Amino acid sequence: MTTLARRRRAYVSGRVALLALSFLAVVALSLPAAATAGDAALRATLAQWSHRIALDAQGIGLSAARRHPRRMTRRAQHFRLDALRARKALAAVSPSSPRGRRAKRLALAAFYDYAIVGRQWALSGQARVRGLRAAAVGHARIAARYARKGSALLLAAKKLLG
Amino acid sequence: MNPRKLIVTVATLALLAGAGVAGAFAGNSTSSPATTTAPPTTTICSDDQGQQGENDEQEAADAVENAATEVDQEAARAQADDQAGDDQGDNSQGDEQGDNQDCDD
Repeated sequence: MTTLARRRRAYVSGRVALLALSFLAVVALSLPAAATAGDAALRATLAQWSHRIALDAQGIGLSAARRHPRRMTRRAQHFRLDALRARKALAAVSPSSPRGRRAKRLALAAFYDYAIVGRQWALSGQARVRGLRAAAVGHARIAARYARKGSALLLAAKKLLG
Repeated sequence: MNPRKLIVTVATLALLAGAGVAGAFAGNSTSSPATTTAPPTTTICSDDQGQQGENDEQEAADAVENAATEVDQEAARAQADDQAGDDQGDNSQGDEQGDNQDCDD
């Protein structure tokens, strides 16, 4: 009887140990997946808004090339709003890794610069409509400087996210 | 550990690991809608189709820098603006909305 009870107890404790092991294995396996989940959401949001910004910028380039300053101004204002919306969307994402957090900071800075670019393009277009060529050139130069900076930040963010 | 126990252990581990990974991915898919701020719906131009995905950021960086160059060059140009073409845009209501839908200036 005692032997039977001892065997039974050993069997139960073996089962409990097995369950505990399984639980630990599940936790160990799900942690890396959960860690990449937030970064994946950040990557997706960044790609979505980058695509939108690219389309906006193409339209602005087209308006500028065709010498349509009024339309360019409207598009530049829209570009700025999209850059600010992108920042808002990115701010809502919670990256799960240090790389993700750094990428988020870079992406937010990139879209902040793009918002400045949009503002400067709009000012350039308005100056052009009013015939103020020097002012138009000045704003366009500032926009170009921030565009380069913003693009570098955006690409750095993308690189971090892999 | 006898073979029977070993098989049971391996099978349980595999099942639970699968469930854990699936749970993590499900968590990812449910968390993403909360992170979006009205994701833009755009009609993609024919030459843009199939390009979205891998190089969106590179595409955006290139497009913004190209646009900056265009705006800079046009601002400096003494040539008069295309008043007629520009005015056509003024007449169209909701031009901002349609900017990227017709993909034509």
